[in-house]
Amino acid sequence: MGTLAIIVLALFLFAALGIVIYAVSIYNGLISLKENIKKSWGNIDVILKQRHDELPKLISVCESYAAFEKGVLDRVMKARENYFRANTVAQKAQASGDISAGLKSLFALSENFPELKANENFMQLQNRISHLEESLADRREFYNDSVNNYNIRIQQIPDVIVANILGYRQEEMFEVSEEERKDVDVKIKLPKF
Amino acid sequence: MDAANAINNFTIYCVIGLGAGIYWFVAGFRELKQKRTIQDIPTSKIATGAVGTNVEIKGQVICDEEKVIPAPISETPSVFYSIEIQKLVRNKNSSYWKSIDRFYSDKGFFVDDGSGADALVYIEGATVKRKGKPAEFQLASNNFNTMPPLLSQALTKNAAKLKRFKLKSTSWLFSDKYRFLEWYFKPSDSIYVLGFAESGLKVPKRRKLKFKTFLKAKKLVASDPKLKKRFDSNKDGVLTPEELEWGAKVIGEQLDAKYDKKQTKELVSKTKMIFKHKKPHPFIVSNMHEENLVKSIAMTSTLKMIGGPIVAVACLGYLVFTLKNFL
Repeated sequence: MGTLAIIVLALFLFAALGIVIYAVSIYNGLISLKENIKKSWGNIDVILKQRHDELPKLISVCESYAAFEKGVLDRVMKARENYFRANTVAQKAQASGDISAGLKSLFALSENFPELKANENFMQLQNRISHLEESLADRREFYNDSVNNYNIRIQQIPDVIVANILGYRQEEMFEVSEEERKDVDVKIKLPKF
Repeated sequence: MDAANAINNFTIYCVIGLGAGIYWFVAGFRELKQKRTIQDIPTSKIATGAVGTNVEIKGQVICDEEKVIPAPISETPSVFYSIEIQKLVRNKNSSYWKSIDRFYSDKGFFVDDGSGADALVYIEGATVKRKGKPAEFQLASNNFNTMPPLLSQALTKNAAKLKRFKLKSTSWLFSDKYRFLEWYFKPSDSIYVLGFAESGLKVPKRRKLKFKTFLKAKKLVASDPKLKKRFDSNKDGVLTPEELEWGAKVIGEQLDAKYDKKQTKELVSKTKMIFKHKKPHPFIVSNMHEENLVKSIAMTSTLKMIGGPIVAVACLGYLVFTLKNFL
Protein backbone atom coordinates (compact mmCIF):
# COMPACT_ATOMS: atom_id res chain seq x y z
CA MET A 1 0.00 0.00 0.00
CA GLY A 2 1.40 3.41 -0.97
CA THR A 3 1.97 6.27 1.45
CA LEU A 4 -0.78 8.33 -0.17
CA ALA A 5 -3.24 5.46 0.16
CA ILE A 6 -2.43 5.16 3.89
CA ILE A 7 -2.94 8.91 4.34
CA VAL A 8 -6.30 8.81 2.52
CA LEU A 9 -7.36 5.78 4.54
CA ALA A 10 -6.36 7.50 7.83
CA LEU A 11 -8.30 10.63 6.82
CA PHE A 12 -11.29 8.49 5.95
CA LEU A 13 -11.07 6.69 9.29
CA PHE A 14 -10.90 9.98 11.22
CA ALA A 15 -13.86 11.35 9.25
CA ALA A 16 -15.92 8.19 9.82
CA LEU A 17 -15.04 8.11 13.50
CA GLY A 18 -15.84 11.81 13.77
CA ILE A 19 -19.26 11.35 12.20
CA VAL A 20 -20.08 8.39 14.46
CA ILE A 21 -18.98 10.23 17.65
CA TYR A 22 -20.86 13.37 16.54
CA ALA A 23 -24.04 11.36 15.88
CA VAL A 24 -23.74 9.67 19.27
CA SER A 25 -23.22 13.03 20.98
CA ILE A 26 -26.33 14.44 19.26
CA TYR A 27 -28.35 11.39 20.32
CA ASN A 28 -27.13 11.64 23.91
CA GLY A 29 -27.71 15.39 23.91
CA LEU A 30 -31.33 14.97 22.81
CA ILE A 31 -31.93 12.28 25.40
CA SER A 32 -30.55 14.48 28.17
CA LEU A 33 -32.66 17.44 26.94
CA LYS A 34 -35.79 15.28 27.08
CA GLU A 35 -34.84 14.04 30.55
CA ASN A 36 -34.19 17.64 31.67
CA ILE A 37 -37.81 18.45 30.84
CA LYS A 38 -39.08 15.49 32.87
CA LYS A 39 -36.82 16.43 35.76
CA SER A 40 -37.83 20.08 35.75
CA TRP A 41 -41.49 19.06 35.63
CA GLY A 42 -40.83 16.77 38.59
CA ASN A 43 -39.36 19.75 40.46
CA ILE A 44 -42.54 21.74 39.78
CA ASP A 45 -44.69 18.82 40.87
CA VAL A 46 -42.91 18.72 44.24
CA ILE A 47 -43.81 22.36 44.89
CA LEU A 48 -47.38 21.88 43.68
CA LYS A 49 -47.78 18.90 45.99
CA GLN A 50 -46.48 20.92 48.94
CA ARG A 51 -48.89 23.73 48.09
CA HIS A 52 -51.80 21.32 47.84
CA ASP A 53 -50.97 19.92 51.26
CA GLU A 54 -51.13 23.41 52.74
CA LEU A 55 -54.42 24.39 51.12
CA PRO A 56 -56.86 22.40 53.34
CA LYS A 57 -55.13 23.85 56.44
CA LEU A 58 -55.51 27.38 55.07
CA ILE A 59 -59.14 26.80 54.17
CA SER A 60 -59.94 25.41 57.62
CA VAL A 61 -58.36 28.47 59.31
CA CYS A 62 -60.38 30.80 57.07
CA GLU A 63 -63.58 28.80 57.57
CA SER A 64 -63.35 29.37 61.31
CA TYR A 65 -64.19 33.01 60.52
CA ALA A 66 -67.89 32.70 59.76
CA ALA A 67 -68.07 35.94 57.84
CA PHE A 68 -65.38 34.91 55.39
CA GLU A 69 -66.47 34.83 51.74
CA LYS A 70 -67.29 31.18 51.10
CA GLY A 71 -67.17 31.55 47.31
CA VAL A 72 -63.44 32.27 47.40
CA LEU A 73 -62.73 29.18 49.51
CA ASP A 74 -64.87 27.00 47.24
CA ARG A 75 -63.02 28.36 44.22
CA VAL A 76 -59.64 27.39 45.69
CA MET A 77 -60.83 23.93 46.68
CA LYS A 78 -62.44 23.33 43.26
CA ALA A 79 -59.20 24.34 41.52
CA ARG A 80 -57.33 21.95 43.83
CA GLU A 81 -59.62 19.09 42.85
CA ASN A 82 -59.22 19.98 39.18
CA TYR A 83 -55.47 19.69 39.51
CA PHE A 84 -55.76 16.10 40.70
CA ARG A 85 -57.93 15.31 37.70
CA ALA A 86 -55.53 16.98 35.21
CA ASN A 87 -53.41 14.72 33.00
CA THR A 88 -51.54 16.89 30.50
CA VAL A 89 -49.10 19.71 31.25
CA ALA A 90 -51.57 22.23 29.81
CA GLN A 91 -54.40 20.97 32.05
CA LYS A 92 -52.13 20.97 35.09
CA ALA A 93 -50.88 24.47 34.24
CA GLN A 94 -54.50 25.67 33.93
CA ALA A 95 -55.50 24.13 37.28
CA SER A 96 -52.36 25.43 38.98
CA GLY A 97 -53.05 28.91 37.60
CA ASP A 98 -56.61 28.76 38.95
CA ILE A 99 -55.29 27.84 42.41
CA SER A 100 -52.80 30.74 42.31
CA ALA A 101 -55.53 33.17 41.22
CA GLY A 102 -57.87 31.86 43.94
CA LEU A 103 -55.17 32.26 46.58
CA LYS A 104 -54.47 35.82 45.43
CA SER A 105 -58.16 36.67 45.96
CA LEU A 106 -58.18 34.87 49.30
CA PHE A 107 -55.16 36.79 50.62
CA ALA A 108 -56.53 40.08 49.30
CA LEU A 109 -59.84 39.42 51.00
CA SER A 110 -58.12 38.51 54.29
CA GLU A 111 -57.05 42.18 54.54
CA ASN A 112 -60.60 42.88 55.69
CA PHE A 113 -60.32 40.48 58.64
CA PRO A 114 -57.83 41.94 61.14
CA GLU A 115 -58.37 39.02 63.52
CA LEU A 116 -57.65 36.51 60.77
CA LYS A 117 -54.57 38.50 59.69
CA ALA A 118 -53.33 38.39 63.27
CA ASN A 119 -53.92 34.64 63.58
CA GLU A 120 -50.51 32.97 63.91
CA ASN A 121 -51.56 29.89 61.94
CA PHE A 122 -52.87 32.01 59.11
CA MET A 123 -49.71 34.12 59.05
CA GLN A 124 -47.50 31.02 58.92
CA LEU A 125 -49.59 29.47 56.16
CA GLN A 126 -49.63 32.70 54.19
CA ASN A 127 -45.82 32.96 54.41
CA ARG A 128 -45.37 29.34 53.48
CA ILE A 129 -47.73 29.54 50.50
CA SER A 130 -46.16 32.82 49.31
CA HIS A 131 -42.75 31.17 49.46
CA LEU A 132 -44.06 28.16 47.53
CA GLU A 133 -45.63 30.47 44.92
CA GLU A 134 -42.26 32.19 44.45
CA SER A 135 -40.50 28.84 44.03
CA LEU A 136 -43.20 27.75 41.62
CA ALA A 137 -42.71 30.84 39.47
CA ASP A 138 -38.94 30.28 39.31
CA ARG A 139 -39.27 26.59 38.55
CA ARG A 140 -41.88 27.29 35.89
CA GLU A 141 -39.36 29.63 34.26
CA PHE A 142 -36.74 26.89 34.47
CA TYR A 143 -39.13 24.32 32.97
CA ASN A 144 -40.02 26.65 30.10
CA ASP A 145 -36.32 27.25 29.42
CA SER A 146 -35.75 23.48 29.31
CA VAL A 147 -38.66 23.03 26.91
CA ASN A 148 -37.46 25.95 24.80
CA ASN A 149 -33.94 24.49 24.52
CA TYR A 150 -35.39 21.13 23.51
CA ASN A 151 -37.87 22.59 20.98
CA ILE A 152 -35.13 24.63 19.33
CA ARG A 153 -32.67 21.76 19.26
CA ILE A 154 -35.03 19.24 17.62
CA GLN A 155 -35.64 21.69 14.76
CA GLN A 156 -31.98 22.49 14.12
CA ILE A 157 -29.73 20.75 11.59
CA PRO A 158 -28.24 18.15 12.16
CA ASP A 159 -30.20 17.36 15.36
CA VAL A 160 -33.48 17.31 13.42
CA ILE A 161 -32.37 14.11 11.64
CA VAL A 162 -31.78 12.22 14.91
CA ALA A 163 -34.93 13.78 16.45
CA ASN A 164 -37.04 12.54 13.52
CA ILE A 165 -35.57 9.04 13.82
CA LEU A 166 -36.41 9.06 17.55
CA GLY A 167 -39.87 10.46 16.80
CA TYR A 168 -39.40 13.45 19.09
CA ARG A 169 -42.14 16.09 18.93
CA GLN A 170 -42.33 19.61 20.37
CA GLU A 171 -43.22 19.84 24.06
CA GLU A 172 -45.76 22.17 25.66
CA MET A 173 -44.69 25.13 27.78
CA PHE A 174 -46.13 25.71 31.24
CA GLU A 175 -47.94 28.92 30.47
CA VAL A 176 -49.56 31.30 32.95
CA SER A 177 -53.34 30.97 32.83
CA GLU A 178 -55.65 33.87 31.99
CA GLU A 179 -57.06 33.70 35.53
CA GLU A 180 -53.62 34.23 37.00
CA ARG A 181 -52.90 37.21 34.73
CA LYS A 182 -56.02 39.05 35.94
CA ASP A 183 -55.75 41.65 38.70
CA VAL A 184 -57.19 40.61 42.02
CA ASP A 185 -60.82 41.67 42.42
CA VAL A 186 -60.84 43.06 45.94
CA LYS A 187 -64.45 44.24 45.70
CA ILE A 188 -65.92 40.74 45.84
CA LYS A 189 -68.80 40.65 48.32
CA LEU A 190 -67.08 42.14 51.31
CA PRO A 191 -68.78 41.10 54.56
CA LYS A 192 -70.81 43.68 56.42
CA PHE A 193 -69.66 44.68 59.91
CA MET B 1 25.74 11.83 11.37
CA ASP B 2 24.00 15.19 12.01
CA ALA B 3 21.49 14.50 9.24
CA ALA B 4 20.77 11.07 10.71
CA ASN B 5 20.25 12.64 14.15
CA ALA B 6 17.94 15.26 12.69
CA ILE B 7 15.85 12.55 11.01
CA ASN B 8 15.70 10.59 14.28
CA ASN B 9 14.58 13.66 16.21
CA PHE B 10 11.94 14.51 13.62
CA THR B 11 10.68 10.92 13.74
CA ILE B 12 10.29 11.18 17.51
CA TYR B 13 8.40 14.46 17.10
CA CYS B 14 6.17 12.77 14.54
CA VAL B 15 5.37 9.93 16.93
CA ILE B 16 4.53 12.53 19.61
CA GLY B 17 2.55 14.49 17.00
CA LEU B 18 0.54 11.41 16.06
CA GLY B 19 -0.37 10.81 19.70
CA ALA B 20 -1.13 14.48 20.28
CA GLY B 21 -3.31 14.64 17.16
CA ILE B 22 -5.42 11.71 18.32
CA TYR B 23 -5.62 13.21 21.83
CA TRP B 24 -6.78 16.60 20.44
CA PHE B 25 -9.36 14.84 18.28
CA VAL B 26 -10.86 13.12 21.34
CA ALA B 27 -10.47 16.25 23.52
CA GLY B 28 -12.32 18.28 20.87
CA PHE B 29 -15.37 16.04 21.21
CA ARG B 30 -15.14 16.22 24.98
CA GLU B 31 -15.23 20.01 24.76
CA LEU B 32 -18.13 19.84 22.32
CA LYS B 33 -20.04 17.84 24.93
CA GLN B 34 -19.14 20.47 27.54
CA LYS B 35 -20.44 23.20 25.24
CA ARG B 36 -23.72 21.39 24.72
CA THR B 37 -24.12 20.85 28.47
CA ILE B 38 -23.71 24.59 29.07
CA GLN B 39 -26.26 25.37 26.37
CA ASP B 40 -28.76 22.70 27.46
CA ILE B 41 -28.99 23.47 31.19
CA PRO B 42 -31.05 26.60 31.94
CA THR B 43 -29.93 29.02 34.63
CA SER B 44 -31.42 28.43 38.09
CA LYS B 45 -31.99 30.91 40.87
CA ILE B 46 -30.00 30.02 43.95
CA ALA B 47 -32.88 30.60 46.38
CA THR B 48 -35.46 28.45 44.62
CA GLY B 49 -33.51 26.15 42.30
CA ALA B 50 -33.67 22.40 42.78
CA VAL B 51 -30.49 20.77 44.13
CA GLY B 52 -29.07 17.24 43.90
CA THR B 53 -28.43 17.58 40.18
CA ASN B 54 -26.39 19.60 37.67
CA VAL B 55 -27.19 23.26 38.24
CA GLU B 56 -26.14 26.40 36.39
CA ILE B 57 -26.01 29.72 38.23
CA LYS B 58 -24.87 33.22 37.34
CA GLY B 59 -24.08 35.83 39.94
CA GLN B 60 -21.42 37.90 41.62
CA VAL B 61 -18.59 36.87 43.90
CA ILE B 62 -19.34 38.18 47.39
CA CYS B 63 -17.24 38.62 50.48
CA ASP B 64 -17.24 40.56 53.74
CA GLU B 65 -15.02 43.63 53.49
CA GLU B 66 -12.63 42.35 56.18
CA LYS B 67 -12.10 39.10 54.28
CA VAL B 68 -10.70 40.74 51.14
CA ILE B 69 -7.08 39.68 50.66
CA PRO B 70 -4.35 40.96 48.34
CA ALA B 71 -3.36 38.56 45.54
CA PRO B 72 0.31 37.57 46.08
CA ILE B 73 1.74 38.69 42.71
CA SER B 74 -0.49 41.52 41.44
CA GLU B 75 -1.43 42.64 44.97
CA THR B 76 -5.00 43.19 43.72
CA PRO B 77 -7.65 43.10 46.51
CA SER B 78 -9.37 39.79 45.86
CA VAL B 79 -11.85 37.36 47.33
CA PHE B 80 -10.14 34.26 46.06
CA TYR B 81 -6.91 33.56 44.21
CA SER B 82 -5.06 30.63 42.66
CA ILE B 83 -1.31 30.23 42.23
CA GLU B 84 0.01 27.71 39.72
CA ILE B 85 3.69 26.83 39.97
CA GLN B 86 5.50 25.82 36.79
CA LYS B 87 9.05 24.61 36.35
CA LEU B 88 11.18 25.13 33.25
CA VAL B 89 12.12 21.73 31.84
CA ARG B 90 15.05 21.73 29.41
CA ASN B 91 15.59 19.11 26.70
CA LYS B 92 18.41 18.84 24.19
CA ASN B 93 16.84 21.20 21.68
CA SER B 94 13.90 22.73 23.46
CA SER B 95 12.48 23.81 26.79
CA TYR B 96 8.96 24.09 28.13
CA TRP B 97 7.07 25.05 31.29
CA LYS B 98 5.70 22.10 33.24
CA SER B 99 2.97 22.62 35.83
CA ILE B 100 4.13 21.07 39.11
CA ASP B 101 1.87 22.45 41.83
CA ARG B 102 -1.14 24.62 42.55
CA PHE B 103 -2.80 26.12 45.61
CA TYR B 104 -5.77 28.35 46.36
CA SER B 105 -6.25 31.11 48.92
CA ASP B 106 -9.20 29.22 50.38
CA LYS B 107 -11.33 26.16 49.72
CA GLY B 108 -14.00 28.22 48.01
CA PHE B 109 -15.98 31.43 47.67
CA PHE B 110 -19.60 32.62 47.82
CA VAL B 111 -21.79 33.64 44.90
CA ASP B 112 -24.89 35.82 45.15
CA ASP B 113 -27.40 36.08 42.30
CA GLY B 114 -29.79 38.52 43.97
CA SER B 115 -32.45 35.86 44.63
CA GLY B 116 -32.09 36.12 48.42
CA ALA B 117 -29.70 33.21 48.95
CA ASP B 118 -26.09 32.48 48.10
CA ALA B 119 -24.07 29.53 46.87
CA LEU B 120 -20.75 28.22 48.13
CA VAL B 121 -18.36 27.04 45.42
CA TYR B 122 -15.53 24.67 46.37
CA ILE B 123 -13.14 25.15 43.47
CA GLU B 124 -11.07 21.93 43.78
CA GLY B 125 -11.47 19.84 40.63
CA ALA B 126 -13.24 22.56 38.63
CA THR B 127 -12.46 23.49 35.04
CA VAL B 128 -11.73 27.20 35.41
CA LYS B 129 -12.22 29.26 32.24
CA ARG B 130 -11.02 32.82 32.64
CA LYS B 131 -10.85 35.82 30.40
CA GLY B 132 -7.52 37.60 30.22
CA LYS B 133 -4.00 36.42 30.91
CA PRO B 134 -2.94 35.48 34.42
CA ALA B 135 -0.39 37.64 36.27
CA GLU B 136 3.00 35.94 36.24
CA PHE B 137 6.31 36.08 38.03
CA GLN B 138 9.50 34.21 37.10
CA LEU B 139 12.38 33.41 39.38
CA ALA B 140 15.37 31.08 39.62
CA SER B 141 15.61 28.94 42.73
CA ASN B 142 18.90 30.58 43.75
CA ASN B 143 17.02 33.93 43.97
CA PHE B 144 14.10 32.85 46.14
CA ASN B 145 15.10 35.47 48.73
CA THR B 146 14.17 38.22 46.24
CA MET B 147 10.62 36.91 45.87
CA PRO B 148 7.75 39.39 46.54
CA PRO B 149 6.94 39.15 50.26
CA LEU B 150 3.23 38.34 49.67
CA LEU B 151 4.10 35.46 47.36
CA SER B 152 6.70 34.17 49.78
CA GLN B 153 4.16 34.34 52.66
CA ALA B 154 1.52 32.51 50.58
CA LEU B 155 4.00 29.77 49.61
CA THR B 156 5.10 29.33 53.23
CA LYS B 157 1.49 29.21 54.44
CA ASN B 158 0.57 26.56 51.85
CA ALA B 159 3.84 24.58 52.05
CA ALA B 160 2.01 21.50 53.36
CA LYS B 161 -0.27 21.44 50.30
CA LEU B 162 2.62 21.63 47.82
CA LYS B 163 3.73 18.19 46.73
CA ARG B 164 6.58 18.94 44.31
CA PHE B 165 7.63 22.51 45.04
CA LYS B 166 9.89 23.38 47.98
CA LEU B 167 10.60 26.97 48.91
CA LYS B 168 14.26 26.37 49.47
CA SER B 169 17.04 28.46 47.90
CA THR B 170 19.61 26.50 45.94
CA SER B 171 23.10 27.43 44.76
CA TRP B 172 23.51 29.01 41.31
CA LEU B 173 24.95 25.75 39.98
CA PHE B 174 21.87 23.66 40.78
CA SER B 175 19.25 26.34 40.25
CA ASP B 176 15.94 25.71 38.45
CA LYS B 177 13.72 28.29 36.87
CA TYR B 178 10.17 28.64 38.17
CA ARG B 179 7.16 30.53 36.93
CA PHE B 180 4.22 31.52 39.21
CA LEU B 181 0.88 32.16 37.53
CA GLU B 182 -1.85 33.95 39.45
CA TRP B 183 -5.55 34.42 38.79
CA TYR B 184 -8.12 35.84 41.16
CA PHE B 185 -11.74 36.83 41.63
CA LYS B 186 -12.36 40.34 42.90
CA PRO B 187 -15.44 41.24 44.99
CA SER B 188 -18.46 41.76 42.67
CA ASP B 189 -16.85 39.92 39.75
CA SER B 190 -19.44 38.28 37.51
CA ILE B 191 -19.26 34.54 37.80
CA TYR B 192 -20.70 31.54 35.99
CA VAL B 193 -20.90 28.14 37.70
CA LEU B 194 -22.15 24.84 36.34
CA GLY B 195 -21.83 21.72 38.42
CA PHE B 196 -23.42 19.31 40.84
CA ALA B 197 -25.16 21.28 43.58
CA GLU B 198 -25.85 19.95 47.04
CA SER B 199 -28.22 21.49 49.53
CA GLY B 200 -26.54 24.11 51.68
CA LEU B 201 -29.37 24.60 54.14
CA LYS B 202 -28.38 23.63 57.62
CA VAL B 203 -31.35 23.46 59.93
CA PRO B 204 -30.18 24.40 63.41
CA LYS B 205 -30.05 21.53 65.84
CA ARG B 206 -32.63 21.39 68.59
CA ARG B 207 -31.06 23.06 71.58
CA LYS B 208 -30.83 21.48 74.97
CA LEU B 209 -33.08 23.12 77.53
CA LYS B 210 -31.09 25.48 79.72
CA PHE B 211 -31.18 24.62 83.42
CA LYS B 212 -32.02 28.23 84.28
CA THR B 213 -35.05 28.16 81.97
CA PHE B 214 -36.07 24.79 83.37
CA LEU B 215 -36.11 26.21 86.93
CA LYS B 216 -38.03 29.28 85.79
CA ALA B 217 -40.60 27.08 84.02
CA LYS B 218 -40.87 24.80 87.06
CA LYS B 219 -41.71 27.81 89.26
CA LEU B 220 -44.24 29.00 86.70
CA VAL B 221 -46.00 25.62 86.50
CA ALA B 222 -46.08 25.28 90.29
CA SER B 223 -47.60 28.75 90.80
CA ASP B 224 -50.05 29.00 87.88
CA PRO B 225 -53.38 27.18 88.56
CA LYS B 226 -54.12 26.81 84.82
CA LEU B 227 -50.76 25.17 84.18
CA LYS B 228 -51.17 23.05 87.30
CA LYS B 229 -54.47 21.74 85.96
CA ARG B 230 -52.93 21.13 82.51
CA PHE B 231 -50.09 18.96 83.76
CA ASP B 232 -52.03 17.16 86.49
CA SER B 233 -52.38 13.98 84.48
CA ASN B 234 -54.05 11.87 87.17
CA LYS B 235 -56.44 14.74 88.08
CA ASP B 236 -55.85 14.42 91.83
CA GLY B 237 -55.39 18.19 92.25
CA VAL B 238 -51.72 17.81 93.24
CA LEU B 239 -48.69 17.90 90.97
CA THR B 240 -46.33 14.96 91.57
CA PRO B 241 -42.56 15.61 91.04
CA GLU B 242 -42.79 13.71 87.68
CA GLU B 243 -45.75 15.82 86.56
CA LEU B 244 -43.96 18.99 87.61
CA GLU B 245 -40.81 18.00 85.72
CA TRP B 246 -42.81 17.15 82.61
CA GLY B 247 -44.61 20.51 82.80
CA ALA B 248 -41.34 22.39 83.35
CA LYS B 249 -39.83 20.72 80.26
CA VAL B 250 -42.79 21.58 78.02
CA ILE B 251 -43.09 25.17 79.23
CA GLY B 252 -39.29 25.63 79.31
CA GLU B 253 -39.01 24.59 75.65
CA GLN B 254 -41.80 27.02 74.77
CA LEU B 255 -40.02 29.81 76.63
CA ASP B 256 -36.75 29.03 74.86
CA ALA B 257 -38.45 28.88 71.49
CA LYS B 258 -40.06 32.27 72.09
CA TYR B 259 -36.75 33.99 72.78
CA ASP B 260 -34.81 32.04 70.17
CA LYS B 261 -37.13 32.72 67.26
CA LYS B 262 -35.11 35.68 66.08
CA GLN B 263 -31.77 33.93 66.64
CA THR B 264 -32.98 30.79 64.89
CA LYS B 265 -33.88 32.83 61.84
CA GLU B 266 -30.32 34.14 61.74
CA LEU B 267 -28.92 30.68 62.34
CA VAL B 268 -30.59 29.22 59.26
CA SER B 269 -27.85 29.61 56.70
CA LYS B 270 -28.35 31.85 53.69
CA THR B 271 -26.26 29.38 51.71
CA LYS B 272 -28.75 27.36 49.69
CA MET B 273 -26.39 25.52 47.33
CA ILE B 274 -22.94 23.99 47.64
CA PHE B 275 -21.01 23.26 44.47
CA LYS B 276 -18.37 20.52 44.69
CA HIS B 277 -16.56 18.43 42.13
CA LYS B 278 -18.40 15.13 41.81
CA LYS B 279 -17.64 12.59 39.15
CA PRO B 280 -19.01 12.18 36.45
CA HIS B 281 -20.75 15.57 36.65
CA PRO B 282 -19.22 18.55 34.83
CA PHE B 283 -17.85 21.37 36.99
CA ILE B 284 -17.13 24.64 35.20
CA VAL B 285 -16.33 27.98 36.84
CA SER B 286 -15.80 31.06 34.72
CA ASN B 287 -15.74 34.83 34.95
CA MET B 288 -16.85 35.07 31.33
CA HIS B 289 -20.43 35.64 30.13
CA GLU B 290 -22.17 32.43 29.13
CA GLU B 291 -22.34 33.40 25.44
CA ASN B 292 -18.61 34.20 25.34
CA LEU B 293 -17.80 31.03 27.23
CA VAL B 294 -19.80 28.94 24.74
CA LYS B 295 -18.10 30.72 21.81
CA SER B 296 -14.65 30.14 23.28
CA ILE B 297 -15.32 26.43 23.91
CA ALA B 298 -16.87 26.02 20.45
CA MET B 299 -13.77 27.55 18.86
CA THR B 300 -11.26 25.40 20.73
CA SER B 301 -13.30 22.22 20.22
CA THR B 302 -13.57 22.84 16.46
CA LEU B 303 -9.86 23.58 16.25
CA LYS B 304 -9.04 20.37 18.10
CA MET B 305 -11.52 18.22 16.17
CA ILE B 306 -10.16 19.40 12.81
CA GLY B 307 -6.56 20.22 13.73
CA GLY B 308 -6.02 16.97 15.64
CA PRO B 309 -6.65 14.65 12.68
CA ILE B 310 -4.63 16.93 10.34
CA VAL B 311 -1.61 16.78 12.66
CA ALA B 312 -2.07 13.03 13.22
CA VAL B 313 -2.41 12.22 9.51
CA ALA B 314 0.55 14.44 8.56
CA CYS B 315 2.73 12.75 11.18
CA LEU B 316 1.50 9.32 10.14
CA GLY B 317 2.30 10.09 6.50
CA TYR B 318 5.83 11.11 7.40
CA LEU B 319 6.34 8.03 9.58
CA VAL B 320 5.10 5.66 6.85
CA PHE B 321 7.29 7.39 4.30
CA THR B 322 10.37 7.16 6.58
CA LEU B 323 9.64 3.55 7.46
CA LYS B 324 9.33 2.59 3.80
CA ASN B 325 12.64 4.29 2.96
CA PHE B 326 14.29 2.60 5.93
CA LEU B 327 13.09 -0.84 4.90
